[in-house]
Order: sequence, then C-alpha cells, then structure tokens
Amino acid sequence: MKGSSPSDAMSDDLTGVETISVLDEHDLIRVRQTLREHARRIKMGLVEETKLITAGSELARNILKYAVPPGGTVVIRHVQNQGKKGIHASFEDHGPGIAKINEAMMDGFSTSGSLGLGLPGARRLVDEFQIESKVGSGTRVVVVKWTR
Amino acid sequence: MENKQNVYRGMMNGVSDRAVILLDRDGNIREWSRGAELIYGYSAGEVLGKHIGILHTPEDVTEGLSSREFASSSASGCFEAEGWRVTKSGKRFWSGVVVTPFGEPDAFVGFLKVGRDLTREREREQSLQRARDEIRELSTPVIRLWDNILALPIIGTLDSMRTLRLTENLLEKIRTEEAGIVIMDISGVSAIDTQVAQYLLKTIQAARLMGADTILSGLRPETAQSMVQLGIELGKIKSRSTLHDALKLAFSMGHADVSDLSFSGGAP
Amino acid sequence: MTESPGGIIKIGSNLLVRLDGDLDDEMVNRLESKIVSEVEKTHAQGMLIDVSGLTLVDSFVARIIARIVSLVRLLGAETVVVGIQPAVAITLVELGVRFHNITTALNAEQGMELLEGLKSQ
Repeated sequence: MKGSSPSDAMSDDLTGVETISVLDEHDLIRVRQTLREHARRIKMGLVEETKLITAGSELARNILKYAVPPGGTVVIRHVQNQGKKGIHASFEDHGPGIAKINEAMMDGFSTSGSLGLGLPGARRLVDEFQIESKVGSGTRVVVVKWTR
Repeated sequence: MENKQNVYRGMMNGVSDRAVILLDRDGNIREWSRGAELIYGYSAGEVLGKHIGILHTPEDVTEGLSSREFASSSASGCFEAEGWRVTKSGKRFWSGVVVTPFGEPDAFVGFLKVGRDLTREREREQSLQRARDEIRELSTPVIRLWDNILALPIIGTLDSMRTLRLTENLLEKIRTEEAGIVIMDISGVSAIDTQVAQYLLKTIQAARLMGADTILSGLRPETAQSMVQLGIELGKIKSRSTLHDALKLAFSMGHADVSDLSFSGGAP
Repeated sequence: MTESPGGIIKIGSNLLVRLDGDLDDEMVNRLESKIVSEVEKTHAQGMLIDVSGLTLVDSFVARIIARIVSLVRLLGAETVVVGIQPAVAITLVELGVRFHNITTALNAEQGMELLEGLKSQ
C-alpha cells in the first residue's frame, strides 16, 4: 500500500505557503487555481499538473461533503528533495472523521451514495499520500507530487 | 594552540577543488578557503562578514534557500543538496553542497559549508538522460498505418514511466491524426504479468476515452496461456495473433476507403 | 444549426451542449432542466456533450456527465461525449472513473457520425 509518509528528508520552504479556507464551492475553484499556479511555477508538466489538481479537487470536495460544521483548510507549499521540486498540499477538516480508513481507501466504498472514488482515486494520482483521521475530531490528508 | 590553528587553516586551504566556508549562526561568512576563492573568484577580503546569500541566485535568495539550509542542517545534523551558485563574475554553476552545524554541543559557532562544482557531472547526466529519452522515443514510435489507423509496436519491458510516455505519445497522435483505431502490437513485450497487463489496459482505456478502439496484435499463444493462468482478463478488447489479421479487422471496423485493396492469405 | 437559449445548440436532429469551466450544484441543476426541456421541445434523437474546454474532470464532473447521459437516454435520445483532452483522459483512467455505458468520440464531427450509427440500431 502506497501509504508512505511525506519524506522526512524534505526541506521545507519557509516562503510561499498558501492557506485556503474551504467553506463553499467557490473555495474549490481557488484551491484548483492555487495548485495550478504552484505546479506551473515548478514546471511540473501538463499530465502531472492535471493529476495533482484533480486529486486536490477530490480532497477539497471531501471537506465540503463531510465536514460538519462545513469547512476546513487547505495548505499548499513548495518542497524540495535532493534537487527535485514538488508541491505539498494538506487537506484538513474537523468533521466526523473516518471510522474505518481501510474501507474508505477501497474503490467503490461510499457512505454518501456517490461513486466513492475520492480517497483511493486521489491516492493513485499523487506520489506520496498520508491520511490521519479520528472519529469525532476530523480528518487530515497530506499529499506530495514531485516533478519528474 | 597557535600552531594547531595554522595547521587547520593549512589543511582547509590545501583543498583546492572544494569551497570550504565557515558561517556564523546568522549566515555571515567567517572563514573562506583557498578553494572557495578559486571556485567563486572572490578573495577572502571581499566576502568576510558578508551573508552567504551573495553566492546564491536571485531566485534562491527570494525563496530563502539559506534559512532552509540552516534549519535543515540544524534539525538533521547535515544538509546536502545540489543547486545553482553564482561566481563573482556572475557566471552560474551547478554546485553540490554539504552544510553541517559547527562548534561544540554547548558552544554553537555556526555552519560549515563544503561545496564543489558539479557542472561537468550535471552535463554528463543530462546528456545521458537525453540519450535515454531518445531511446525510449525510438522504442515506442506511433505509426500512422492508414487514414484512421495507428500502430503502436511495444518492444521490451514496461515500467510506469515508459507507459506514461507511451500513452502521452499515443493520445497526442490520436488527436492530431484523428485516428479511430489503434493496433497495439505486443509481440515484442518481454513478459506480461498482472502489472504489465494493467499498464496496457490503462493505455487502452485512455485511448477509448478519446474515441479510439484498440486491437491487440501479436499475442503469442504461450503468453495468452500464462495470462489466463494469472487470471488476467482483457475483457472486451479485440485481439489477433498477427498484425495482418489485426489490420484486416481494423479495415472492417473503420471508415477508411479500402475499395482498391485486396487481402491475400490469412483467415477470412 | 440554430442556437437555443443558454448554450445548447441544435444541429439537425441532434443537440450539442458544451461544458465549460467550474461547475457547481446550482449550475448543474439549471443545465439539466435546460437539457430536458430542449430535448422534449426539439424531439432530439441525439446529444453531444463537448468537454474539450475542460482541463479537469474529477469524480464530481464525471458524475454530472453520467447523469446527463442517463437523463437523455430516458428521454429517448443517445449521447456521445466528445473532446476529452489527453491529460484528462490519462487522469480519469488513473482516478478509476469508468465510463461504462458512455460512448466517447474524439470531436464533434466523429461524435455526429457515431450518433448516426447509434440511431440506426
């Protein structure tokens, strides 16, 4: 399972961190645009950029779908590892949390009657994927996509 | 004590192909070795007391490279990276840098930076990469067989990187040629395990989303057998054992004008 | 070719609708109502959904497309989705979205040919 945590050997970028409050559909647009800008800045390439933004869209939408009270935070920044550049994005909400992460990470599983592709689909689109969730306190998903 | 300092300084300056630089905790240059002079072009007098950022590119300065280096090396004991540096004359070179915290545990002095010029290595690596890319390109060309029909002969092993390139090429060709049929010849694929089958399937699905049907050709009987044993199902994908038969099928499916063609041999 | 209100174009006995930019729930509902009324009004037998302007198709958008296809099918017409971009196609496959009962074509022209073929079945 590709559940490795974002590399500890990464150096953090202390500038250019963007935080987006996700409260409604319009914020999803902002998340996508910001991810696009950052991906372009490090010359990620169209296919990888599309994968990153699609994953971001899925994860940000989850915040809208499941968090009660609605809302959460997306934090986007650049990272670097041995000369390779990447985009690091975290998606955090204080919603109900996921009781069985294993189930949620299976294709087709959904508690909301949708296609249930959000989490496992998003995971396939990025290079590093980490999820923490606690019932009653919320969920945090962190993804990293590197330039090839 | 005096003697030891001279010995150490002598050692530091004896290294001519590495820039050995000592920084204080704020990142200002405290010691500048002979190697640093040779590599950067600045004499000690010109840089002592100045911030290490004078050696960085403007972009790196904006992005706060030095603070990142210090934070990382303080946290993990060592920071190693490659990046562009700038000499006195303004020339850029690709440098390999190691930054370590310096001083006694309870008497932190600053940072030790050892860097070397990796320009030649980098150029070599880049031309190697270019050669690898060209080989990859040559090994999966997409050929326009007829008005509506593309051929994609796959030879060798498939990994995720190669599959992505292959798929990108194919989809681009489908778009520019407005092709509706792809003949994917896999007679040259070394081994088809579940992973490879997945790669092929994903390529076929992506082509389908762009309106193109795929016909597999060159699937050898032994390969077909092992696939079935592995439980690999190719579902609705049409398959023919020879390119000839695959082409015949393509013509019967497509909208190409074949009124002046005739087929000889092969199954009807 | 005649233009109906709200971006749905009539071409012969077919309709063409373009999906652009960022869709939200409200826009989707309005679009679906519009499609229903146009199909009924024009007795359209086929519909083309042009997504060539979409640089991103996530599971939400994929679901919208699937819903429109089902909706139009219930109204007696067939749909072809055209113009999926290469990067989007690769991403959709990786995402795991399966367009099972959805016919796709490269562009509007090829989509029309397909529609004629589907109708004669």
